[in-house]
Formats: sequence, C-alpha cells, structure tokens
Amino acid sequence: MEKEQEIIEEKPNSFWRRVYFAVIVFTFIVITALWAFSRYFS
Amino acid sequence: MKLLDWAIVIAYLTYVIWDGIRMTKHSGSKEGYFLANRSLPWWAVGLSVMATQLSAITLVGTTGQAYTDGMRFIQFYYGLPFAMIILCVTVVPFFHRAQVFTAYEYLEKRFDVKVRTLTSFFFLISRGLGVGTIISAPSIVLSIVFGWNLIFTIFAIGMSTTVYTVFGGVQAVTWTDVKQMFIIFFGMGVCLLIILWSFPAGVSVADGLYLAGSLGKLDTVDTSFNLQEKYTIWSGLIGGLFLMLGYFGCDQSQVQRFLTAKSVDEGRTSLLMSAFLKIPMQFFILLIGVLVFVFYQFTAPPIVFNVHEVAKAEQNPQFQVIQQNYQNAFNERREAAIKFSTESTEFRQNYIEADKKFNAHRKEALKFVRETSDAKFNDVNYVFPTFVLQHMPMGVIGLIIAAIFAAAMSSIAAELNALATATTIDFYRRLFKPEATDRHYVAVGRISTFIWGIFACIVAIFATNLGSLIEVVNKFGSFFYGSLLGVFVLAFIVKRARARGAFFGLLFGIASVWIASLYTNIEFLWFNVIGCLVTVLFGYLISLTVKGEDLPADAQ
Repeated sequence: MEKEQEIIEEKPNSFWRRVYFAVIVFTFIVITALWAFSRYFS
Repeated sequence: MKLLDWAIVIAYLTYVIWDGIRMTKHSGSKEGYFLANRSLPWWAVGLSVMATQLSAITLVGTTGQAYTDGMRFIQFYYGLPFAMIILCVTVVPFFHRAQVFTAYEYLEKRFDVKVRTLTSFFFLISRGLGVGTIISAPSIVLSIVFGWNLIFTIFAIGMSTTVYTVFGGVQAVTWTDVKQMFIIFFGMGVCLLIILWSFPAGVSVADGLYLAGSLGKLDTVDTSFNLQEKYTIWSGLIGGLFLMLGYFGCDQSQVQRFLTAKSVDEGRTSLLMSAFLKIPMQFFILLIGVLVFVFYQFTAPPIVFNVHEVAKAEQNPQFQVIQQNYQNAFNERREAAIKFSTESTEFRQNYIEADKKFNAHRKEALKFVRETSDAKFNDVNYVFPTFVLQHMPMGVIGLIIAAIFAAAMSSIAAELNALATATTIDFYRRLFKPEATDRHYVAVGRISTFIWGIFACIVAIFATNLGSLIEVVNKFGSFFYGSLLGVFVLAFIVKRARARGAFFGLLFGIASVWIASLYTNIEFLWFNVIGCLVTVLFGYLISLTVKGEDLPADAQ
C-alpha cells in the first residue's frame, strides 16, 4: 500500500525537465571552470 | 607498515565482512537477494552507483596517470552527465516499470530468447574479465607493501569480497558501498592535506600548481578533433557519452543498482547524483596525482616506482651510472623548480628544459629496468602506492590502504552480484529451470557468485601484466558496450527492428570494433561509437529482410 502511494506521487515531467536543464548548465559551468583553471596555471 | 596501520586495515576488513554478512537475513527471497525488494533510498543507491564505478583502479591508476600524464584523463567523464539525463528519460522508468531482474530480460520480450542470451553472454564475458582487472589493482599495492606473493594477494582480496556478496546479496553490496564511499573520501581527503603540508617552506599550493601547469599537467580541455588522441573534449563528450550510456544503461552491474530503488523518481535521483558529483570527484582524485608530482619536484622520486624491479637492476654496474645521471638531473630540476616558484617566472623555460632532461634520464632508467626484468609492468600503477608507503605517516598508510581496499571491494562486490544475477536469471532460470522456489534461485545465485569470484581471481593473475590498469578495464568495456548499446537502441527506438537484425547487428558491431582495434590507430573511446552505429545500421538493414514477423504484443 505504502509503495503504491509512492508510485502515485511521482514528480511531474516539468519538474524533471528543470532538473535536467540544471544538470546541463552545471556541467558546462564545471567544464568551463576546469578550462579556466588550466589556463590560469599554465 | 606499523602496528596501527595493520590495526586500521584489519578493523576495516572485519567490519565490512561482518556488515555484509549480517544482510543475509534480508536476502531470503529472489527479489530480496537480487533486488533488495526494490526498497532502497536514492542516496544509498546513488552512492552505490558511484562506488561501483569508483574502483581501486580509479585511485591507484588515475593518480598514477595524473602523475605521468596530467589531468587530461578527466575529459573521459565529460559525457557522463548527458548520458545520465538520457538514461533518466528512457531506461530508468522503462526498466523499473517492466519489473525486470536484468536489463537483458526485456530483450526477450522485444526480440527473442537468442538476443537476450547473446547480450547477457557478452555482458558475462566483458564484466567477468573486467572484474579480474579490478581485483589485480589493490593486489599490486599489497604485494608491494607486504612483499606478499601476488597470486595469494589476489585470492585474499577477491575471496574476502566474494564471502559477503555470497551471503548478503545486493543488500550487502549496497550498504557496504555506502560505508566504503565514506572511507574512500575520508582517506583521500587526509592524503591530500598531508601532501599539501609536505611542500617545502616558501612554496605555496599556487606555486605548486604553476609548476604542474607550466608542464601541461593541468590541461583539462583539449579541443583538437583527432581520433588518434586518447583524451580530447570530443572523445569525452561523444565517445564517453556512448560508453557511459552503454555502461550505466546496458551493463547489469549498474542497471541492478537503480533497479533496487524504491521508485522511478528515486532511481532517477540516484543517477543524477553521479551527474553532479562525478566530474568534481574525478578532478579531486587527479589533483592528488598532480600534487604527488609537485611533491616529487622537491623530494627525489624513485628512479622507477616499481622498487622490486629496481632492486634487480641495481646489481648491474651500468645501472649505477644511470642512477647517478638521474640524480644529477633531479638536482638540476629541483633548483630550477625552486627558482621558478620563489624567484621569478623568467626561470619557467629553464624549469621546462630541466624537466625534459630529467624525463629523458627516467625513460632511460625505465628502459634499462624493463630489459633486465623478466616481468612486464607499467610503472604508472606503482606511483601512488609507493608514494604512500614512503611518505605518509603512521596510521595514514593504514587508512589509505583501507580506502584502496574499500574502492576495490565496492566494485568487485557489485560486479559479482550482477554476474550472478545474469547467470541465474538469464541462463539458469530461463534455459534450465523456469519453475523453482525462491530459495532454490537464491542458492543458485550464491553458488554463481562464488564461481564468478574464483574466475575473477584467475583473470586477475593475468591482468597484472596488461599495462595501465584503468585503461585495460575501459578497453575491455569499449569492445562490448557500444554494440550492447546498439541493441538497446534498436529495441527502444527502431520500430522496424527484429530479432534477426538485433542478433546479427550485435555480432557485426563487435566484429567492427575488433577490426578497428586491429587495423586502425583509433583510440578506444571511439570504439563505443563505432560499435553502436554499426550494430544499429546492420541491425536495421537485416531487419528489413524479415517479412511477416510482428512484434510480440508485450514489447510494444
């Protein structure tokens, strides 16, 4: 019963789309920061 | 190693084995033993996903690679976050709702039993070999530290992990993974701090990074599009994306992790944890390797890190001349490094020249040692353990050895559990005994885990001579992952795909990777792209030759 309730309470797709977008932005920021780090110390 | 170090390692081993075995009580049913009753929280699954991927090879091989080659290897992970998003959208909800035990189970519903069996068979081959290389990395560390027989060490590590995996199943794997991740982070964090404190007076962390940076050791983005260059942003984003899709989406050792999650949302969140943390974590591990390199600018590094082989070469008088030249080159480089760090950047060029000279002498020494040695070895794998043994204080050596153990055992346990699941569910239950009790399947699962443990130990004995360990594992994976991914792409996306197409497409895909590896200089990350595209293309074309064959109703 408890498990069924959890499945029903799945987050909507709009929520996940925002999360995926955040992952993409975060990844670009991280790669850019790594590139800047390399450039700064080279 | 002192008594305290021994105590830490033994305490760690005892705790983990006890912690794993006590999960036996939750593993009585098939669902409990293989999938933890699909009841685990996202953070435990997420840590388990990361622990499975972070093996001892990651600690030993990657730090060694950063020492010799710099941080270029980080580009390998650039495709991972994007792969995680694709998997969250497609594979996670699908597998979770299909209530399957293995990823390959679906392929029978979509195609036929032959495709399921073939993909599962290739998984068993690739991971059976892969887990062998995962065992060999910490075994090398221990054989150096304790002077133990390597084969004995391999069996000691492999079988201790096998014991708790046999009894506790996936519950033991996941919950020990969680604790092992904390030990790894703590051990590596302490190691990082001690390296930073070991720099000579007047040399700051920034100075050290400038030294490494001036030699290109901090390069993290290479934008050149060259298929023969191992690590570039493109091989990471494209080749890495395909590899990660194959690894996290089609490899049972990872699929089984998110199948244990409570719900689709929890499964997604567990994968996204890696999407956020993997690149920063890998940066941190590579940084340790680079800082070891900086440390050795001021303290003479061993002429060759495999001290066991050096001892043999030292008996030759010619080697003493090489050693003297090496020592002179080191002194010259140290002076140049100090001047560059503390006086002026005008000394940068001097330092670069001194490093080139030093490397030439080291290469000469390495060549000499290899020629006098009867064993093949890759010095990269000996850098970090030798550094820890020679320069870490009492207690920290034990902690880092425990962290290396933790990394190894977390991966080995997950792989053995997945190998046993595929063997039991895809072969034993499907082909030999479809109707049996849960207790029977759990017993078969336990026997399979044990047999795979023995097999992995035997592979580990041969894997110690195969070069840089991290690359060996990734190369093994790249031979199969792309093609396996291709089969799942056919299943999910290509509506016209049929069983015959998927079956032969997979064989063509693997053959194409094999040919590419033999007759071209293309680097291994691109094998994933080649394998996937060839499988999809041939799978589709062959499917077009199949007429009058409809999809099974439950695969729509």
